[in-house]
Amino acid sequence: MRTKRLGWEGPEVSVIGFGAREAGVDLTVEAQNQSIRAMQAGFDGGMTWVDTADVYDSEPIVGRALVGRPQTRVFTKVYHRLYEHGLTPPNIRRAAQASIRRIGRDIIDLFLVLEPDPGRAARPETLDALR
Amino acid sequence: MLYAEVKGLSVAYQRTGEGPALALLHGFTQDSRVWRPQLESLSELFTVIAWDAPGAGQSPDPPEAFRISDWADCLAGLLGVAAGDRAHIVGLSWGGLLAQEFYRRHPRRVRSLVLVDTYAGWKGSLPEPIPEDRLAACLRDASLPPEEFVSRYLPGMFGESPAPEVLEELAGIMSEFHPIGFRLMATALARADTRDLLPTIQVPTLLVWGDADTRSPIAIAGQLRDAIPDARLVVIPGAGHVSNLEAPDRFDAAVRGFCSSV
Repeated sequence: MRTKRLGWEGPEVSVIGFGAREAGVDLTVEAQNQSIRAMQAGFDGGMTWVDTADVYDSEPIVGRALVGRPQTRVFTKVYHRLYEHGLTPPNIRRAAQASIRRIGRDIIDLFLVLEPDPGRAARPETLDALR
Repeated sequence: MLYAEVKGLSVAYQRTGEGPALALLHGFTQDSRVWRPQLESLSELFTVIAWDAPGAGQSPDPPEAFRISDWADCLAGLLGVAAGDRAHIVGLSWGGLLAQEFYRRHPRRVRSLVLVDTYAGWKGSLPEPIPEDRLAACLRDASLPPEEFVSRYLPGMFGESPAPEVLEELAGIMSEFHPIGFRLMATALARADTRDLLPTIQVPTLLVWGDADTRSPIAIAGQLRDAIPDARLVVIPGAGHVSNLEAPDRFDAAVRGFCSSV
């Protein structure tokens, strides 16, 4: 698998990763296990990251797929409309902590804004909270 | 339509399928017909019970003193007749409040909770003065002729692009609303605040939300997910307040998968 630097100063990551949005659609045990097997097949094939979001309901499934794979990176996102008043710094911190809990990891490797909160995305305090 | 005598009321309900019991609780402008897709699709795995709450559909109006706790006890009586000891409880909007109150009063009867486009009561989820403003509008609108009632409430029920036949279907259901039932249900919803209950919920809980819901904005789903231990959230893109009618395939996949894995 080819790799590429993430951003200007980030780690090398595979050019293909696993997008886990659809893993949260069908909540049957069989479908979730199938999603986990698909992710793990991707990791075995050289993918080094998986991407989810607080609004996909796949964070717990991603967490299960990552058990025993500490080197695989996890990316997740905050969806501003899930939080009253949108992307305020406290809401961003709360969202990150909740995602960490659902995924079952100590850290999130990349924390993204799912879509711009028109009132807040460009404010300095928003960017500070994301850091 | 079936009927059961509960608390002195002849409560109407529909029943389909065989399997673990799953109860569908409609919202306050509707009746059991709003669950048409689920009465068919979920019946493959579950015994599906969809009631007409007292004050809606083919059920009689309740007494003026009826409170949400009375609806919950009435539901317990009905499920005892129609579904046995325990059931998955699926509540939409006002029915979601009822599901929470049912859990408060009869926790051992609940196998899992599915809360759909709902609230922790208006008082528990909406900032002042919205609950009282909404209630005032409902009390006023309860006396509207059916056509005006439908034209006032139908548009807010859907997301971005509902199919015309679905609009027509819900309009037909809403046009048969009960003024007394609507008034009492609206009052119960406006005054309710279940925030104390949410952290105590100990059954598996799924939240299903249309992300274009304007009556119960998706931030309320975030509020409930934060408050209910280990609650899961499935968001249906583009759907509004009646996501079960607007996006039944997506809705059914979430509910079927969740309830069958509990």
